[in-house]
Amino acid sequence: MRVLFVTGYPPPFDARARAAAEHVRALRADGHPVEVLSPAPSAAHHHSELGAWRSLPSMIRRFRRFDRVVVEEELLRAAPLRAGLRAARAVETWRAPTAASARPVEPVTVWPTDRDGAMAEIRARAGHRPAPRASGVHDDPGARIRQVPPLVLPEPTSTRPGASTVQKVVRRLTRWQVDPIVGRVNQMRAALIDQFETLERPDGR
Amino acid sequence: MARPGRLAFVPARYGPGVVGGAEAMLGEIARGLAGRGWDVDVLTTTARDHFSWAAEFPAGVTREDGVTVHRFPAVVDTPRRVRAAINAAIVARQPIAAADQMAWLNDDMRVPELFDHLLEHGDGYRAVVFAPYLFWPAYVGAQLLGERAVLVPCLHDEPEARLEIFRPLFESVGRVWFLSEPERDLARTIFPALAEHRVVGSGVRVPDRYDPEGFRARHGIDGPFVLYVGRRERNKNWDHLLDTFGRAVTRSSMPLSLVSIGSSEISVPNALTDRVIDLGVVTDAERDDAFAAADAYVQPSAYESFSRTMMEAWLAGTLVIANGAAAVSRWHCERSDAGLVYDDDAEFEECLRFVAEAPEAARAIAKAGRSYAIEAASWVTVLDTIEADLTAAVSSER
Repeated sequence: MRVLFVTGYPPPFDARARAAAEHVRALRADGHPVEVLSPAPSAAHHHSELGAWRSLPSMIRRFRRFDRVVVEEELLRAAPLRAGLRAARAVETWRAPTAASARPVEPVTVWPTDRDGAMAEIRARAGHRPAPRASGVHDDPGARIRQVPPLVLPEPTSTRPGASTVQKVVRRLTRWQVDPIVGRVNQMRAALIDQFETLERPDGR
Repeated sequence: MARPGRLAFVPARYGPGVVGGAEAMLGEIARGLAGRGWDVDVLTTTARDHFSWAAEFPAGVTREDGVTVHRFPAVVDTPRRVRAAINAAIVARQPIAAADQMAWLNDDMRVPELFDHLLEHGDGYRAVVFAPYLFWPAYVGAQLLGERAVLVPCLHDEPEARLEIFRPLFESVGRVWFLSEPERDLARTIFPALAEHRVVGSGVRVPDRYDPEGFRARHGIDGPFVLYVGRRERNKNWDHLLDTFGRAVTRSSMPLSLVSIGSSEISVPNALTDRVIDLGVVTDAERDDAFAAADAYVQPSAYESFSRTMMEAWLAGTLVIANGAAAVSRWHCERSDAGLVYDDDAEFEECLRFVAEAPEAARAIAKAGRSYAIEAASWVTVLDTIEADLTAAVSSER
């Protein structure tokens, strides 16, 4: 059975993409010829802007060539993709295993029964956690700024007909003004992180 | 004697007419190990040229010089505008979001069928060796295979090396092989959690004979000349070499020509047409004769991880003039005592003047280079080191 797998695919090698590659391997091991369609260029055989209505005709043509289309559940938010899938002979959804299920389980330590052993265990465990600052300041400003993601402009893509074209035109017209601001904001963020990391170092260097 | 397990080597291009140090090096190692009894595959693209990536070799499987070569189509199906825009930001060392870095990587040549091959057959290889780190096949294939992957990064201190998307590559592979100590030191600086690694070096073939007079006669070259061999690209500082050479010989009336061998069309200013001789791509034997005929070899690149051509010049008894911005080139020149290093245009001009005014002294300095190159770039030593590393990897897996 010829299968088209619509999914995020490596690179990058995040858990979701790795799981998708493993699923391709499993399908092929079952004897199915598999091709992959990803929403952006990747190691997949095909790529298409699944959220753009202009991609709809090519999606429909492609879906019709396969006996079954397997779609990563998360991508079904894209309306053009959902519309295109109506042309497929058979559709199946696939969900990447959640990160929670892959989270390593902390080993259970058996506590020593004597005091010295217990204290050693306590100190060992405490050593794996950040100690509160001697000054009593428990807030970590460096961590807070690190949690702020770098400024990235949203992609000019919209599920509404025609909207993405307008967005792209606006993006193009304002690029000269907006891009330097984005660059400067990210430079300031990097400088702040550097500064906090310097301050947080025990030797202050 | 047959060795245990199959190996694969993954250069982005492989075959006759392919110009590139990393590609040549990986091919030599592949054929060398095949000659020592290893079962070797080469997994590569159908391209010869690394700009167009046009299919110039047929896709499929062939047997070439003792190795099995699998060629997969290189796909370029985007206008590469995203890549060009982000490239400019990379060169300017501007901060770039991780998603944009990934878009930059994927908006270039990709090889989905090679990915499929590795996905399905990767586990069947004892080790798969990738080079260089900047090309899509190495980035993707090495991370797909993880512990089974060996990365030969051919790392230089270029802005791309600082992109965060390369961290998982250098940190997740089974092992990293470096071509020189300065390259290893640079990697340790950039990637604190670098995977297990060692310096394996690289080698050059020692020609049986040279024919410098024949080379001059075949190309009608009478006077003294300096030689450049390699890719004639901005990245290799070719444009700057042409510019500084032109200014130096014109200002000082030095009777030197510049002979250039390598890929890419070049554009020579009118004022220099009688000073620059472009031979394009030539045979290995013709290139060796050029090294022997030259009064000096110029290595202008600031991005070198080994510099095979410097070794080839020294083997031919020719002085090397190298750009000191490349730590590896400086390192070789200082260790061999057979090369001059320049740090600016004025120093470069004086190097040329030395060659023009004291050719005998230049030859005398270069003499020490041959023994250095034979020792530092011996394929026997390189292959011994690699076999030992592979065997150790095999043992540790048992």
